Amino acid sequence: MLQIALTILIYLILVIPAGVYVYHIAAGKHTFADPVFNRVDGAIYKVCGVNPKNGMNWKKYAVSLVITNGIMILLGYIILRIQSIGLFNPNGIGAMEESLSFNTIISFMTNTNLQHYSGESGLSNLSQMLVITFMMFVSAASGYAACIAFIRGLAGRTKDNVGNFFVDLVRITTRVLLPFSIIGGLLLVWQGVPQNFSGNVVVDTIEGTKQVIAMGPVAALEIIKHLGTNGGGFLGANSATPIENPTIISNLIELYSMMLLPGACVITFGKMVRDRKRDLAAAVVADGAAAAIPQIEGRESLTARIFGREGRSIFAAMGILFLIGLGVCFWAESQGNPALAEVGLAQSMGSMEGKEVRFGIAQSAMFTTTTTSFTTGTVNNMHDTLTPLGGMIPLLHMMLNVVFGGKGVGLMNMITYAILAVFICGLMIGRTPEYLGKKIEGREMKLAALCIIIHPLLILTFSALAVATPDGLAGITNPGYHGLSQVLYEFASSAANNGSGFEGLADNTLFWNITTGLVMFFGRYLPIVLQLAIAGSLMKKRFVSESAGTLHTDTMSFAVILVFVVYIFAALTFFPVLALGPVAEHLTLWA
Amino acid sequence: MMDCIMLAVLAGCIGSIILLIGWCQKQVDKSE
Repeated sequence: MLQIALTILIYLILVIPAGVYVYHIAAGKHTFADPVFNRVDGAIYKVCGVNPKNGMNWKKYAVSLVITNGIMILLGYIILRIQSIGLFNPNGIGAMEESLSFNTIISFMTNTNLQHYSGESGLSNLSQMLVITFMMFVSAASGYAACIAFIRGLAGRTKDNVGNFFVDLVRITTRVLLPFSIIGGLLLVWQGVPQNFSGNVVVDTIEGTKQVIAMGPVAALEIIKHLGTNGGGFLGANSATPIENPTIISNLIELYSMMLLPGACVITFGKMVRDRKRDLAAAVVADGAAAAIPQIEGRESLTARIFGREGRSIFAAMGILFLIGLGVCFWAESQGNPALAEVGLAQSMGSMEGKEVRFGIAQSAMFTTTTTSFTTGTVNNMHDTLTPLGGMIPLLHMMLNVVFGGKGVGLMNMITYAILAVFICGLMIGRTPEYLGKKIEGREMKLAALCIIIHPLLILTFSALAVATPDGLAGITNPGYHGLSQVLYEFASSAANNGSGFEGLADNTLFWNITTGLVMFFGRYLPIVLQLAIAGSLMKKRFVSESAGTLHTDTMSFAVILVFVVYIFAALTFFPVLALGPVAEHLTLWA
Repeated sequence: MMDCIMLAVLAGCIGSIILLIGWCQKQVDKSE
């Protein structure tokens, strides 16, 4: 328990400077690295014909994002289909099958990294670098860019300019993802993660048998896998293997890598909204009063200064959801497994089935909760062997999809819930709801409701399809309550663009490749487009002055309201299937 | 043949998102 508390404390210390740095990048403010990166970015703009001064409205921004991602999907599909050529293919791996290529390319472009193949036997080094690692950068940068455009829309400093997608894509890649990846990758190499272009090595074990040890550019993939909340491993067993994650230090590097940027996005949001409030205040008050504004802000609490007031309430709501989930997961795994106790296996260490001894229960529960809250999908233990309630937490957090969430999109989802929360509160007190100084009216609620309903609709519809068709049922290797959990987990992971799995599911079939591919695609792009439309709608509206009846969204009480709204919505949509899956399994196991 | 089907499905998915952007634009324009 102490190591979990220390891990979280160190995270809170690390996320603050990261948040300040990302805010400077998003807001186009000066940073210490500008002399170098301005030249790099300028060269890229020149080659690509991008004018960084040209802004875009929300529609042009969304079209640019979708078309750019779409072209990369089509090119990536072709590369996977021709990877059998001799280039960077020391293990002689053949072309990837059509439906698996379809699934894989959507998986990596949507930041999901769901893998229906094993990396060491399914991909050449060329594909690992040109498709997998490349897309880990681009998909993460695309999600971040959408989030920054969304924040610009909400902050509403202009009427019709949410930024330039190509500029945002380049800036986040060159100034955040690449430098952070180089530093983190070298740290992983220091811990023993391989980085080479060798073929697999065959060694004689002390038991006298042969063992194949995978080699390749592992460290380069490993760091962006976490930093970009991607999650797809170089090897099938992902970060549970000592090749990808050899020590407790490498485990912490990977843990903080995936937590850093989603948290930093919340700080960026808080600071950008605060900037807009300062501009507004300076514009409307008389000169004498304007001079008093910095003094008023001088009395802000430390947390409000760090996160911004609005960012603080969002971060608090996400933090509460995360800590509740982590507590339940850690407790459930610590209780052990009565089925294993019955056959004489000591459960004093907790339920260690599918876990690495070097990580134990605490770091496994922490990694499991983090990877599904921050929707990374990397695993340092096998989720299929979690206890029923321990496994329900990652499943629930992917269903919520707002507990920090993936890089950028988690914040967008939480703000959509915040809009829903102010709407519900507005109904209760009989006032037109407002958020960040803008009236929330029918159009915004229509888009927000659509955005929120898409996620459960994708998960539940496709899960129903899977359990109602022979092709879907054929993948279930553990019939009964756990079989339903496997199906739910696969589609929840796909819709949340997470990518982890209850890997007992036999999912490399035409049915599972196509259905999860479609869920990943629509789970990614439908919400992003709708959220950008909400931002586009709000930025056209006039600011309304606060009054005594205005619901303050920068308080802890609003954070608690937000948590309840998220849980109530989840209970209304997902409780029946959770009762039939993990809850029923738990009651059966402990009966 | 299977490649053509997969690429057609991918193109259809991308096209549907473009159509959604058009529909959203109409909604945003109505709200002005």
